[in-house]
Amino acid sequence: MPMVLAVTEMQDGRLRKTSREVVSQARQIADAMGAEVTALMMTGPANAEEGASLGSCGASQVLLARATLLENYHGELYRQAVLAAIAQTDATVVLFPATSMGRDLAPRVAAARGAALASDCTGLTWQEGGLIAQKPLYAGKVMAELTLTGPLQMASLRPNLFPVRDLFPGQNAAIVPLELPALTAKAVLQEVRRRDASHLDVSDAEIILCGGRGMRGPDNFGLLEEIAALLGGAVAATRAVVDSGWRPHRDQVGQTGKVVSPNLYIMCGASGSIQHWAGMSGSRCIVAINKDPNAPIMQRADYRLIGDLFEVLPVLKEEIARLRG
Amino acid sequence: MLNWTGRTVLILLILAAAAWFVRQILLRVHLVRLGRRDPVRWDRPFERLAWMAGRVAAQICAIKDRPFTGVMHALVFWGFIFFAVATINHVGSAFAPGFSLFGHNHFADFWFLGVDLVALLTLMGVLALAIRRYGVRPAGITQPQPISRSPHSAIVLSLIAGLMITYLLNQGAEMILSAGRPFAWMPVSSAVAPLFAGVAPDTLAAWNSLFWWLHLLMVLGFLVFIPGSKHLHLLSGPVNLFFRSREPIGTLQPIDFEGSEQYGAASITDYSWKNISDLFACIDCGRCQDVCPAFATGKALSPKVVMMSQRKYTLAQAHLLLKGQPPTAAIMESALSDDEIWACTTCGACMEACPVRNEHIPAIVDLRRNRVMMESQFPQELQTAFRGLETNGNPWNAGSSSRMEWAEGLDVPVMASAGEVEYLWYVGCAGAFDERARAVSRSLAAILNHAGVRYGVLGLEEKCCGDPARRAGNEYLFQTMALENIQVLQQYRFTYLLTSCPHGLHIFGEEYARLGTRFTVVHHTSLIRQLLAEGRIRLESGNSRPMTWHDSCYLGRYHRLYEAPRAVLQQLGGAAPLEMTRHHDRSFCCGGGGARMFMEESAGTRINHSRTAEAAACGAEIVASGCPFCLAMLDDGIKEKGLEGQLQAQDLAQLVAARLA
Amino acid sequence: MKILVLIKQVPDTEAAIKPAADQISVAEAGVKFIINPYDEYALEEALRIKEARPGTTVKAVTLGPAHSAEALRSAAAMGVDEVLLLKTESPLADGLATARALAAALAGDSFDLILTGKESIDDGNMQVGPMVAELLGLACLTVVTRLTVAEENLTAECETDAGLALFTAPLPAVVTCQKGLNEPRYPSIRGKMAAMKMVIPEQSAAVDPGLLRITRLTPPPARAGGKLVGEGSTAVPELVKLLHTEAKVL
Repeated sequence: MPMVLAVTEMQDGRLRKTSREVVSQARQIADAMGAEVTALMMTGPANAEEGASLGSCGASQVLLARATLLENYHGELYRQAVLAAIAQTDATVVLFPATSMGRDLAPRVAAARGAALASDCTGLTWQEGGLIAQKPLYAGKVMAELTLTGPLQMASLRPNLFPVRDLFPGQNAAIVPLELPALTAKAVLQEVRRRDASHLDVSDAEIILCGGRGMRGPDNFGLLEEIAALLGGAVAATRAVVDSGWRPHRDQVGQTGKVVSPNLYIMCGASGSIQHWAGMSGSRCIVAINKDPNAPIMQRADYRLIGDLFEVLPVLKEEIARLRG
Repeated sequence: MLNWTGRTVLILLILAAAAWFVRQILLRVHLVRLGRRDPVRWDRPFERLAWMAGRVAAQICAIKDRPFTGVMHALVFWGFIFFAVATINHVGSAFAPGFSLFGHNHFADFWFLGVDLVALLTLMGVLALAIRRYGVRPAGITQPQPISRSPHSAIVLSLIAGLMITYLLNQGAEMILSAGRPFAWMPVSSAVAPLFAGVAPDTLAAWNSLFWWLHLLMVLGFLVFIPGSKHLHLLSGPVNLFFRSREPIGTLQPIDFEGSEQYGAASITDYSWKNISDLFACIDCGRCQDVCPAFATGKALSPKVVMMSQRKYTLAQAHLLLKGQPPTAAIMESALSDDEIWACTTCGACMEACPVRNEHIPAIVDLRRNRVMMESQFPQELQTAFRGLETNGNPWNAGSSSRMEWAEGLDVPVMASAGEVEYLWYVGCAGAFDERARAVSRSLAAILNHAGVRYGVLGLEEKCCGDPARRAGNEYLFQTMALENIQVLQQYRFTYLLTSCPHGLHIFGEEYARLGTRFTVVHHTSLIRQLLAEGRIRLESGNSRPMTWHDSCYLGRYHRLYEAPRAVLQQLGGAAPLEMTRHHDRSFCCGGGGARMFMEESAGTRINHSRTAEAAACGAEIVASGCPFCLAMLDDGIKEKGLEGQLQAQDLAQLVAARLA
Repeated sequence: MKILVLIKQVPDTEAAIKPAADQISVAEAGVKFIINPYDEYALEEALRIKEARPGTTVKAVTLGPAHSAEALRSAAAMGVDEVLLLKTESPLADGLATARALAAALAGDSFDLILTGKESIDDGNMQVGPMVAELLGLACLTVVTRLTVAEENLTAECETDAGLALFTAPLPAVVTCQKGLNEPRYPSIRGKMAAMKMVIPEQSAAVDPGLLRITRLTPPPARAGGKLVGEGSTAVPELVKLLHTEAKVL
């Protein structure tokens, strides 16, 4: 029976949501292939009972790699675990979440096994003996369809995109220990530092909400901050806002501020001058929420919503909260 | 008349003072000659001489901008001239009693009368100037702490006063001592003479001798003192005026990249000789500082300090520089700071105000050139602009394929398919990419179409004219772009190049010429005026809200185009437009020039706020201009100061297009 | 110390990218190319290490078509000592094929440190760095925001979803660079002028077809000109839905 291996990820002792997305998609692929799904859990000595719940998403078994060395992500060590899992299950398809872990791990494994790897896919299907992946290229200016060949194929899936399918509610997957080789690595992990969630720098954020003069005052930025917190994003400001003292200079995006290229840039109450554009034109997707349908940003945005910020933003927050479940 | 000992001493003193004087002057001349060759300074020598002589004689340099002070200065100046000649008499009398250069005729009488009156007037001038300097203490000379030590001024004022006083005392005493000198021709001295009326002849002779020697020593003191003080301007000023630049203010010279190793100025010897001469001509008068927008809004820059600080530096390093050795520190390490050179907006107010025609802008840009091209040290924000220019041909790095978006839905002919035209309209980067300026482009297109003007635009072939790169000191990038632009332009046949931006006007009209092509450039405000005058467009009648015209620096001071836009506004408004406090050649910069549009303004207050406030204060409801930078800066100023209901920034083209009949 | 920087020439972020007629490649007419911005961090870091450690040499290598030489010219203008173009007209969609071609070409040389950007902005795969490390058997640290290099080892701060992970690793090693590592220098004009005149050394590189191909390129779903989602707060659910299902950014 061919096997699809779904690599899962732990954070703070719990499975990350994207792990279930990966397992769900693995199930889809396996169904098309006529294969089974094994989920791989790599974790430190803490309990791993949660792994069994992956059965409801379609994993028939969970390979558990439990070792002190695996408590925190380490590329070389996790690679060894994944390679062992591939060998143990004879997997022909391996799926990863395209999280920071997955994006570091998948290429190492693919190169070690000489397998094709489609990274950060937004769509994945199986057809006639191979994976077909969809992903955006050139910052979303074209959509590409990729065809993979070879006895072993791998893909990493963009997080928060693929649905979690609870196909077998209540069904537990069997937890099987993974036979690990002696884990060695050249690099040594010295320290793990958690990011202070409230101080995500705009340069680092994948999702940015930018407020302009239309926000009418510093207090109203609290609403943007709440939405940003839900999305794990950051709040930016236009020059006008910074000059008025409502937001600090480090939040300024624009020609004389920071140049950013997040996946999603939501402009709220800002007209979007060319000077601001110079700072965020590299954003993958630009949304403009503005009362004025003729504001410059409205011509340049990918999605426009004409409306009063103060009516729209609270509803936006609700909808996002609902989406993020 | 002196005895032989006296004459010997006199001759020795004169020789010593003269030797010192010559030595000091030669030092400065040699320093000036360390500079690079400067192309066009020796053309039309007679015209230059006449111009210089006229300015100096009439003291226009001093009287302009500061009339009262200027007149006082004129008195002192003329006093100096007279006394320079009178000194000949003075020295001559040591060898021959009653020596008179002009003989003993009526002309000589007039001469002595003149000197007498001048002595009094000069004394009054000196007094007035002393009161101004030490009593009134205007900002121009007290801020920042004067680079030239104020004792210099005190010494000179005292010396001049002393010269006048000793002259009068001397003459007065002479009158009493000897008979036969007509008193009537020397009224002032005659007024002094009674002081000595009852003095015994021997004592008086001694006093007289004292006055004579004091006067002489003061003259020699001047010789010794002048070269090392700002009063060198007595000589260096007229020299500077002779070698003045006859090009529009702020015109920059290209660099021969293949022919030189050093680009821009790191050391004094990298400057042109005229730049160095400027340092010695500077009077520390502060006229430039008084009009500098950067200084007025609290930035580190003072054009006066740029000159004086480098002068001090040059003299300190002179012994090394003259031997061809490197200085102990570079200019930017010890004489000036980055904050200063980057604060300049190249508005040209300093150069306009300078009585000795110093050229501050080319010097500052030369310093920028070195910083950018040799040392890669410049404000971070400019990297985005430079990269944008390199990659997409505009300083905001907007996609070059979107350059014609502004014209969508409009009938704008593109040169590639237009054939021969009268006007090739260079729309400019702002006009293509900046929302506010795009509206101006659309207005101008409407006007041109309405008037049936035969024109075309370059469309997607158009790239930035290179002005931001050039002003920011990235001459290499500018020349690369300019040569590409010239190649594109040369493919097409047109009579005039039309620009909707004064920076384009200046760079295409003046500066591209030094790269091999000369264009006849027309600014859109001039064209609009012409179209109205020819009746090719008409305006609907109606009242306008009160308007004022903002003289953009590159349109006004640089190119003296003041009247055409005002004429148009007059037609629009039915009356002459209001004038702000600072207008015409004294217009105040919007803050966007000199590549400052692409940099952060973090020190002091905002230049554009100052100008916007001025516009609001003059009673206008519309501030009109002919420049996309000014439009953006004034518009921002209005928004930032919350004046949206009261004042509106508009381009002339927009105002006219809205009223096309 | 010998440092290698792997760079890639990519289309400018503002370029209008459209599928070519064959629907598999991208139309290159009118497209402007730049050095991949993440590779610039790598170049800058290499140059800084060179400035701090006399005797260090920096070599920049790129795998790509003939016009990629321009990226090497820019690298030369920044101040690298040596450049090399591995010339190929093959498509480079398969990260592993790219990594293999690079590793093969570099087999003869030994480097103490290999730097490259964390990803290239055209495909965003983030593969080549770790794959090259794997093929050469070197330690690899990715998405690095701070790097300290010593004689025999390095310390790196790697950005992760949760924060930062601090690693030490022995040299030779591969490091992929993230934004924030440094501010790339603007090349001096002297550098630019010399680079303009330079002859770029090149050698042919064989890139095998690989196990991954682009089989179709299509324009993205109806985003040109932007979509008016609606008016007022009632349009918000639709917006969120579109961002999730169509744009796939939420």
